[in-house]
Amino acid sequence: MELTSAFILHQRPYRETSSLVDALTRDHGRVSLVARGLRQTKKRSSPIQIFQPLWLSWYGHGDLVTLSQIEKDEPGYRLLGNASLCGLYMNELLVKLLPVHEAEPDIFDAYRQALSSLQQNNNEQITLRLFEKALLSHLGYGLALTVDVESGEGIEDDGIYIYHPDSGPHRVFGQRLQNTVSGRSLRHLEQETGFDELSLKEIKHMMRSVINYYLGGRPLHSRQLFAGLNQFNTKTN
Amino acid sequence: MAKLGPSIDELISALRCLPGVGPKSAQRMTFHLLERNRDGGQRLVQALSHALDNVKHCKRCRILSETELCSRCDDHRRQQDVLCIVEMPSDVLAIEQATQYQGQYFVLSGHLSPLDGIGPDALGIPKLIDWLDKNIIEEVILATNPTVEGEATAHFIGELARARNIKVSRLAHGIPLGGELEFIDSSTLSHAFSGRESL
Ligand SMILES: [Zn+2]
Repeated sequence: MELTSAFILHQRPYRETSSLVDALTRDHGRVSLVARGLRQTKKRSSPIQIFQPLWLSWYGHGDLVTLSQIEKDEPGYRLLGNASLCGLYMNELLVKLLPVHEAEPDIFDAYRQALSSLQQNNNEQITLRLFEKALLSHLGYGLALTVDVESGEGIEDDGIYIYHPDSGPHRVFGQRLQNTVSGRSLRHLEQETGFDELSLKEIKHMMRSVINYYLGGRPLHSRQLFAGLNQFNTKTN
Repeated sequence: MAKLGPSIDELISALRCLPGVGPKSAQRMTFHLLERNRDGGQRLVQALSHALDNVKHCKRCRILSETELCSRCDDHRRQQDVLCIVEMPSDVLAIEQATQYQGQYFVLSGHLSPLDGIGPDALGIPKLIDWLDKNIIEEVILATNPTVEGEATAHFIGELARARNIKVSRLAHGIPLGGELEFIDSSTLSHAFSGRESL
């Protein structure tokens, strides 16, 4: 096969000297590979890192294939500070939500764009929300952001909605409910612009419930990292 | 693999818990011990059993130790207000051999890795926080590996220390001493370039 653009999402030791590699490729989607002897060469050159654009090829069929060639493409994305935690979060999201061997170049491009945005220290919250939106959409779980699915009416800025992951926004009136999202925030997410602190907060909660729905109860460990940072820091402050 | 008898098979399979030991090497070791070096085997049994009974983790820095506090943590001549955070026990030995560092250590036994389910608790972070809160620490030196996960771990701990007004430093990553730019791999060079210092 020809070399394909790829990123390593995760790798772990396998047998004595090999690694089990989870990769996101542009032309073949997510692929699980056995990399023989990769760990042995580790000491000589610097090992392959996540967030490093690569060229990959492999042989074999089925769910687990064997890596045949690996080359670095351009310099890797350097995510420093909080951006590194955001990057780990995106990788976990991809490994847990993306089926293997389903080519989805748009997801690859969205991932690459998000890495670049994180490297440039753009607003992390916006970067993550847009990545989640693109990921859901290209997985076929696209968000409905323009109409109230109950009444069929357009979303109004000052309307209050509850977003049901399996259908979309339902307008609610009167009583203060939890986990609501304003029409204004839905518009920001739809237009991918205009975000502010309030809309980012509402959208974050909404996205979390949508993603939880598709995860079907599996936890995201990287989320606990962000939570841990807050928890450990507020305990004594 | 051919059945050689339950005791031999069990020994071969037990030896495979060692890193880098596959079926072939395990079989070779087994034959060696049983055919040629039964005394060595006896010694191995005693040393292993003794070590398993007596070696625990230092309750302060988490390195392997036969006493509650390891010799470094128990040494009052060492600087008490500088704390160096490393991923592995072998990193402590490497730093001790290579530098004049005379402060304290904390061994994480790994790095943050959400996809392996390794979070702050598995790295002993609550214990580290307790240390930071109950002692006067002037500086935390983050000596985790220059990998993405090591970087994320350093950031995580750095934030905790900063929130407590503790000075945080990170090991510099650069070109090996005596190296020539031309022959250094691109990631190391780009790392060294972006981490350049003003003179
Ligand atoms: Zn100790």
